[in-house]
Amino acid sequence: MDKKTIETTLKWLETLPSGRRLFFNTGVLMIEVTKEEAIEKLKELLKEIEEMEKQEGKDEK
Amino acid sequence: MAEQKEQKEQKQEKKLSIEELNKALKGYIAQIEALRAEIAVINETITEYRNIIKTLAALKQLGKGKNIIIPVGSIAAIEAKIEDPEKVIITIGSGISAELKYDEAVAQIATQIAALEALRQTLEEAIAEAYIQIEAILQKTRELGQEEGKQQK
Repeated sequence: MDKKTIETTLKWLETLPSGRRLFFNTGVLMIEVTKEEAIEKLKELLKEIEEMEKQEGKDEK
Repeated sequence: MAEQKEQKEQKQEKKLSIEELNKALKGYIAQIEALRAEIAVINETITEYRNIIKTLAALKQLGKGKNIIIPVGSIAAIEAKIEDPEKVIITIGSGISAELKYDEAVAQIATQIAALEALRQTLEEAIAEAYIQIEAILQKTRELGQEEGKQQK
């Protein structure tokens, strides 16, 4: 999963009309989530990736 | 003596040039193979997406309450009832899926098919360009070969 994909999904979620059911795929099954939970989950993923990139940058130095 | 040395140097230069051409040729062939492999994956995905649209249409036609068999892995299946064929869950990326209306879902899949077709077109153009480069390299190799043949005579 890359930053660009997550950002695209976040944008897509923002344009989604309200009242739509959302699901998070755990890799085994899908869990129903609210729009806020989905956004939060994606932001967490984004943060994780950014931290990993930071760490990789430090390692390279 | 100096003339012989010059000829030897020229020959070596040509040999190097042919080697470089061969290297470039191999590079373009590898590029074409990689592009073809990518196109094959795109074709498979397009076929799969078209099948999804057909399946969704068939489920819609069957209607609410009809029994269907859903595969669970490759060797098992369970019977299920269609709850609402107007609601389709579509993966939107990053592990998130959203419930869309039937028409929205079909439009979404069609958009993805169009994007894949555009990508395939770009890759096909890249292949055509690589073939033009290969033809130019072959022509250059032939010319060098002919020159060498003349000099040997």
